[in-house]
Amino acid sequence: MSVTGKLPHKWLAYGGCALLFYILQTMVLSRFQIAGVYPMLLPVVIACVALFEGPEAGSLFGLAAGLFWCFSGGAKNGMYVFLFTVSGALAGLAGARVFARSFKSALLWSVITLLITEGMVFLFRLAVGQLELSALWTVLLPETAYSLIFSPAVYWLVHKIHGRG
Amino acid sequence: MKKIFSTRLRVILAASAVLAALIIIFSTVFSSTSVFSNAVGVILSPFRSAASAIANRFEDLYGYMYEFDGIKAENQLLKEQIAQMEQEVRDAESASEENTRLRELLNLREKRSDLQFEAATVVSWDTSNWGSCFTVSKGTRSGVEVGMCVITETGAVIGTVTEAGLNWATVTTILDDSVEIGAMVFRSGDIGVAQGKFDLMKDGLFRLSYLPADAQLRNGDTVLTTGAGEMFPGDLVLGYIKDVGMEDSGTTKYAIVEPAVSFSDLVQVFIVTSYEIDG
Repeated sequence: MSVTGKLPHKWLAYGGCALLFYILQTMVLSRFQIAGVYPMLLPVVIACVALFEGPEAGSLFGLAAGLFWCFSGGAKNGMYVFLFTVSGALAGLAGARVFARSFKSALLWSVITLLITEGMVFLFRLAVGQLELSALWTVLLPETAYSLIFSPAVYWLVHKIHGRG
Repeated sequence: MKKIFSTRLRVILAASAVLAALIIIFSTVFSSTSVFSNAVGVILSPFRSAASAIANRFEDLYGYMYEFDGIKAENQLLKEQIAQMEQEVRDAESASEENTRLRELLNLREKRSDLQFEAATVVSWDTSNWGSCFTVSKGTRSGVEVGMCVITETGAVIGTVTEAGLNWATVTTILDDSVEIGAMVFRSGDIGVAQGKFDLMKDGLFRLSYLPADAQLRNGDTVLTTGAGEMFPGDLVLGYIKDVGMEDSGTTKYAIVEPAVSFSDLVQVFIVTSYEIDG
């Protein structure tokens, strides 16, 4: 296989990309808080992959990522399975119909995906009284901003994988 | 008009909703770790250990390079404290009785011979901003089970095991809002419930609720586990009272408690695998 040839296992590469950023998030960045929060990188990966691959592939990737996040201990219940799937579907639809597969689109949909996933968790916990509205600007928004720092790296890697797939 | 959601996409979304519901039901009904979680945890174990080892080396280097002055000052302060403590030991009554405070610092096994525990290393911290838990290097293969208490070498409570795989376990700390422990204020004997609260978790604090309205509490009072319900061993240090208040109902008091544990410094923890129950 030549260096410039197609990647025969594109989805394995996407999975490796997700695993890489999962390890980065949980085993390296877990020691570095900014504004008292940690980043959440899987939604960024899902948004970028879905933007390039479309709604069906994006939603399946989101589903797989959600199951992995749930079973790896990242979430205490299955909510993220559905949220990641929906996020992948929406980002994929946006990429297929409206938005160009540019970094700006990836950045925008990373924000939207983060707000869908972590935002729903925030709203659920707010509804059951586990936290107060202030968590919106003390947790949710800083977490989104911190996560976006890594969006260029995610976008670049996903773009490369897509280009060779 | 072309459908926005294709049939296949709708099937995928529906399947994800069903899976999510099943996982929620399973995690609610069963306290044990699922075979899928166990498998993922086993696969991730070597990655976690490797990343933890590398990160520890970088942290040590960073600390040496940038925190040397601070460490030197802290070392000097600790030397003075130790010297003062040694003086207090010499002044203590009854030479035949070992100083229990130094025992707490130095030898947990002698102080609490009723406890059997398994040492484990912290390999990764949960990076969810909505909870407080971490993963350790021991699991069911080492006798670790869900519900076991986790402490430091000084007997301070860290939290409880909430998931246990073959060679890994998840420990949820006392700061997490899912954790509740029977607790007692050592000086006054007042009984309450130690609960994690999300708004306090960010400040590294937790709440002691359901205290009697006439409880006489002071800042700095030590809070211990009661051992009630046989979930946790008794007389383990949870923390120290930082503030006291009255509930809105006016019928009970609450206290804000600072944990005895410094979570950011945790490298090694001790999982209590068995203990003797009094009475």
